This record gives sequence, structure tokens and C-alpha cells, in this order.
Amino acid sequence: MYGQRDIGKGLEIEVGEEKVRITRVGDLCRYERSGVDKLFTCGDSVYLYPLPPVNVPVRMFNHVYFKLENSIAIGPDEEVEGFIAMPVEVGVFASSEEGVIDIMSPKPPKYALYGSPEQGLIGRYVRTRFYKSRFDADPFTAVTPVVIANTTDNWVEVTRIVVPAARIRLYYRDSNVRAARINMNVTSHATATVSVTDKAPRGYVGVPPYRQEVALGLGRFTMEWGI
Amino acid sequence: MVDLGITSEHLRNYLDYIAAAAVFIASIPVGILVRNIVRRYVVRVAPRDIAIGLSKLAYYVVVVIGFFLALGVLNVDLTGVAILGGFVGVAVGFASQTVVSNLLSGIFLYFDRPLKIGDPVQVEGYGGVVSDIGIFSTRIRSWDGVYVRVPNEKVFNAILLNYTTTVARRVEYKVTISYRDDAERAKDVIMKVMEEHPLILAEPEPMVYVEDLGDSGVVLNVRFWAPISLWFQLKTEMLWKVKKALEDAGIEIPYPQRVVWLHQAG
Repeated sequence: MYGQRDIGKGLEIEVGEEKVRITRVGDLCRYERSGVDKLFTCGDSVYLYPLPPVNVPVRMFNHVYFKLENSIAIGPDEEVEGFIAMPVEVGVFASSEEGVIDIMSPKPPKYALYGSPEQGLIGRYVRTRFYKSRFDADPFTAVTPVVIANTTDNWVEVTRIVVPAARIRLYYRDSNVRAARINMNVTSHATATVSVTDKAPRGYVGVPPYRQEVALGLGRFTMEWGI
Repeated sequence: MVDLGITSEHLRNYLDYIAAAAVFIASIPVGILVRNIVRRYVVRVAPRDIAIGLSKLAYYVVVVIGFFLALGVLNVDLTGVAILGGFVGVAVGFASQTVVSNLLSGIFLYFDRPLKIGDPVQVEGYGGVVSDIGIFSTRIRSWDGVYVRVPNEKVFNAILLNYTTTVARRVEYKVTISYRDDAERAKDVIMKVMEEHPLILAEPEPMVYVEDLGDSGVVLNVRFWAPISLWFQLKTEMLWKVKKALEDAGIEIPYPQRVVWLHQAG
């Protein structure tokens, strides 16, 4: 599914319910799918990569907002490890590093406000369960390891996790997608810091960063509007 | 030997005139220097328009000081000038009250930052996009493309609506359905339309509820939140989608109705 795909004389790819067709037109290539028809300068291949889910339908928002369907209560100074499901978008690139032709979201996108209308942020809204063990996922879902540490002296209940998309690193192997581990340190009953450990799982290939500003990729993100 | 009639007193007078002229002329490059320095430093902390205004003011202050210094060199009694200046000052003060008020308001606006260039706003009943914030006035390009100049004093004191200072904004419709139709079903139909749209925010949750039992039908209140930059687009797009969805579900949006009872005599 992901990675390099030879165009040859023409190429047809199915991405979820979308049928993508790439044909050669002289020295250019034509890319077609429902509602999209464009020409691009092409070589021998195109590249399909999973991308953080913040580009469809418009690239305006920079966070992914996970709403946990099963909340987690964590005791003082305790830590919980598990997995959450993150939908990914599929980017078609003209070269291995850049030249995005199209981005699709096989899972219907939805956005939500985290925080207040004055100072909050809007992020891709993902409802997911918190799984204790790794689960089987379709090609459009990244299995995302999460470690939640309660650094307070009280019990806390975690119902949501917000991560800047620029810090999400994705890895693929054939049709399997995994995301870098999310570390959430709960600092009070309503605040937490979130960081990402960028370490590729064995046998997986890292997706080249797409529109990931360096400044956003550094340091920790603070969830200050509830956890 | 020709007597030119130039006495030492005359010579001293000529020298005084030359010295006075030199002082005044020297004040001009000094004023330019001061103007450039003020502009260079103020532009770092204030908008360009304010920096230009203040730098011009500094230039004129230096030149006026140079003028009075030149008069001093000529031993002109400045008492009369001071009295005259006092009267002129009072007159100019009254005349420029509004100008100064606008200037100060412009400076306060900079620090208060209720709006910035590019913001869609409503000021003094004029709605549009801020195209320029000057030292004396703010220019707004109204929704229909007409430029409106609003004095800064009015902007500062006005009740100002700025549509971009929030992340999200609520959209609200009132939709009337027939008394014959099931309001619960209509609510479900409208909720489904909102849930299917990616940019209608899932949180805060969209809401549909019966607001009123009206003269012509059951009035539903439909509320949802949208990203601020897409607010108008979604507001216009969704109303029609709601109408179409209700139609497709066979739910009637009634015309105004009045039941007339005719009494038959005999």
C-alpha cells in the first residue's frame, strides 16, 4: 500500500473507497480521482505515505484531539501504558521527499474545539478507545503507543489527549502504520504536557516530514484546557 | 578711499543676522537627524504610521526651537512672542483638540489592539475589513467594497465587534416545521447533516431543540460552532443543506398560516 509505486504506462490505486488513476500524457502524468484532475511532472514512480490527519478538507489546523471513549483514572505517581487509534491521511507524492499531488482522508474527517472559543485551538477530532495491548488496524489507522504518567499527588482522570500534528511521526510497513510514542505527563487535574518519542519500530520505515515546521516539532506541548 | 558708510555697529548687526540665519538653517539638518532617529526607534515598538507621525512631530519641534534660538541671537524680545504664542497656542489647542484626540486614540489603539489590519470588524455601524490603521484614522473596506474612514477617537470609544479574535464562532438558525411532522425526527435529520460536515465542530456539540410553538409551526433552534475563518461560508452553506435534508425526509417547512372559521348563520 505505502511506499514507492511504479507508474509504468499507467497506474491504478485503491485508497479506501477512492480509485486513483495515474496515466502518462506526453512527458507529464495525469492524476485523476473523484473531483480531482491534475497534471504533474513525473518520473518513474509516485510515493504513497500516511500523513497526520490535519490536511483534509483544508489545511488550517495543527493539532490532533483524541477523545478517549474509555477514560483512564490514574493514581498518584503512577503510569499507564497503552495504545490509541489515530486515523491517517494518504498523501500521493511525485518524489520520495516532496511534491505532494493529493492528500486523501479515507476516514471521514471531523474537527473540534479544545479549550475556550477565545483562546482554545481547533484540532482533528478522533474518538478512540484506550487499548492495553496492540491491536490490529486497517491501513488507514496508525497504532499509536501512549504512556500517561500522573506526576501529581492526587488521582486524575484522563479523557483526552491533544498532540501537535507537527510532532507526530509516522512509520509504515506495507499496509501497516504506526505512530511515534506519545508521552503525556499529567501535571494537575486539568493540565498535562505532551511530547513524542521519535523512534521507528523495528522493520518500519519513517515517513518524510511533510509541512512539519521545525519550531513546532521541538519541546513539549502543554494541554491547559483540561485532560 | 571710498567710505561705504559701514560702521562697526552695522557690521555687528550683519553678523547677528548671519548667525541667526545659520542657527535656523542648522536646525533643519538637526531636525532631519532627530526625525530619522525617532523614526528608527519608534518603528520598532509602534506601527509605521505612528512612527512616521511622531518623527515628523520631532522634526517640527526641533525647527521651531531653532527659530526661537535664532530670534534670541538677534536679541529679539521674546516676551511679546511668548504672549502671542500663548494666544496662538490656545487657539491652535482648541482647533487641534480633535486632531490630538485622534492621535492619542491611535496610540492607545496600538497598545489596546482591539483590531488589526485584515480583521473583519464592525465599528460605528460600519462593517468591513480593516485596511489601514493610521495615526488619526482607521480605514475600513466595507463588505461591498466601499472605503470608510473612521476617526481613531470614534474607534477607540465605539462598541467594536471584531470577528476574528476568537477561534470559533456559533451559527444559529431558526427552522420552522409543520405541526403535522415529528419534531424528534426533524431534530435527528438536522443533527445528521451537521455531524456529516467535517468542519462543523464536534465540540462544542451542535444542538437542535424546540424553541417555540409558533403560529405556523414548531420552531426549532439549530446551533453549531464553526472555525472563525469559515463561519460565514458554513452559515450560508448549512442553511440550504438543512432545508434540503428536511425536504428529502418529507418534513414540511410551512408557509405562514392562519385558520379562518366561517360561521354559517341559520
